[in-house]
Amino acid sequence: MQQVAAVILRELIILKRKFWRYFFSFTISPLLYFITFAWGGRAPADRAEYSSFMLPGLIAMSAMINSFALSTEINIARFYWRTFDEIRTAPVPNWAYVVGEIISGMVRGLLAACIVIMMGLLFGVPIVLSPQLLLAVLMTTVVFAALAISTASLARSHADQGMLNSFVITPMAFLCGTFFPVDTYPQALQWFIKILPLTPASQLVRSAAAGHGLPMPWLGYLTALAVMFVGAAIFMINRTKD
Amino acid sequence: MITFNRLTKRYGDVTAVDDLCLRLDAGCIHGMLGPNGAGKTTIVRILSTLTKPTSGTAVVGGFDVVEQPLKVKQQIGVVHQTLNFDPELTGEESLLVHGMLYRMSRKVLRDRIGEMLQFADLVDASKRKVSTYSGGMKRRLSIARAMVHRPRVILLDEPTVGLDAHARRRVWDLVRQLREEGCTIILTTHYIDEAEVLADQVVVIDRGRIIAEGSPQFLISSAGSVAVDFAGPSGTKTEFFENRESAAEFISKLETRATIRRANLEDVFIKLTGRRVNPNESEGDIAHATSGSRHTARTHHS
Repeated sequence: MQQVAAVILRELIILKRKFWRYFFSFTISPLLYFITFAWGGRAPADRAEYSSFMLPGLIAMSAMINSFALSTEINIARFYWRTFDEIRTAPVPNWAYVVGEIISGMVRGLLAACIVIMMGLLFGVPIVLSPQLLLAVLMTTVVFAALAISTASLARSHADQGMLNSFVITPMAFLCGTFFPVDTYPQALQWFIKILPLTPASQLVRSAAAGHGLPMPWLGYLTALAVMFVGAAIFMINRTKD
Repeated sequence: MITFNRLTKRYGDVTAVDDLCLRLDAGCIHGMLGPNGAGKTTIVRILSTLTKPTSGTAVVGGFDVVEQPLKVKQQIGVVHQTLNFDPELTGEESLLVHGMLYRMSRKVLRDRIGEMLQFADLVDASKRKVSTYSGGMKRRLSIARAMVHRPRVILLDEPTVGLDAHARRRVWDLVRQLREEGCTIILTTHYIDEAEVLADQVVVIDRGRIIAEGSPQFLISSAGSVAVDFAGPSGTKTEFFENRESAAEFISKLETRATIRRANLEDVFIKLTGRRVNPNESEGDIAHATSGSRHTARTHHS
């Protein structure tokens, strides 16, 4: 456990030292999306209805983007600061490194989600704060932090990291029910969108934010993805070491 | 303590380490001297379990680097050629995180961090971010970090690259202290003076192969203790002699200007390969070593 704590401590110190930079980066995108899509050019009645639809989507999206941002941090550690070599030369089992990094990613994702929730409350958007909502957000951050580790180990340079973000994050941010219900897409596309990990995350956050329980099929699917991605992360880190 | 048995590492068509067989005793500073690209860093990476050999074995303290990497990692401390610190962490935090990675208990770690900060003369700077440190301070912190978990073997990969003369000497002092504490040290360098001053035993490496090994004094005397540099028709030439009298006699017969000096490990390398360890410092075409020298080099390669 001490090795897991070492990995987390390093990330938390960095988070603490750069807190305001992170705070503004967590805030600016959801705020702009909120103002542009939920407020811009809408009548007051329509604005309130769309805001309460969009806010849970933004919470899930922010949790996704900022826990996945871990992959950028890992690659900066690998290619720029070379601090990854310190971990690799220490007797740290792969699982301990992966768990430490996932928890670090979860902290970032959770902070970002909290900022979006506070922003929603400031705008007067109704939202039910519950343990179910917390669980939904945490599950989202686990999935995307684990995915971040796997994809980070695929990158061979900083440039690859930008491409990964474009291929992995951007399509999900726009397609997976953040701005429009998934049901509004053509049937064939819906199947594809529902497989993407942000869709179950969005559905769970949306349901919990409305005060309903967590739909078991979506929770089961997201849990399965979490297990799969954590396993993949450990496998990929092992491969990176070779 | 450390043994290599027919160790080979290939990257595609390039052979970085070629059939290395070597035994390094405990408690000594072992210098690995060779030009850039000789394979020194690859050897360090294999010992630190970062790179797997293509064939052959490397054993540290009885543990195979491929079969028992976690056991090997517990025995070694690594100072990488590239300084690798999180710039946001302070010096003290860097040592703390490192010690935690080695599962050191809080109390032991706290005491050890204090010792290591003193060892590296960084007590006053311990609360400052590493990004504010000079190159020399970062190097010293890097050595202190490698020592935190009390390893038996320290791998120092070009530890003084980019440092000024004063900072280099401070690093040398630290390396000597490590030996006094009983550590086995592997020091790769392409600085001749560093290998001569620090190493108890030197392994001269070229193109992934060992071309000579022994104490610096032994290697230098085997080349000839005294060197004479003189201008030949196609560049600077060097001849070696067992004593100053023979060298002076040779100079008296020359019609060009000549310099007489004590031979060094660079001369050993030149004699064996016909090239300098640091080609950038070459004044002329050193490939014009004596035919006898070339013969010696071939003998070592075979």
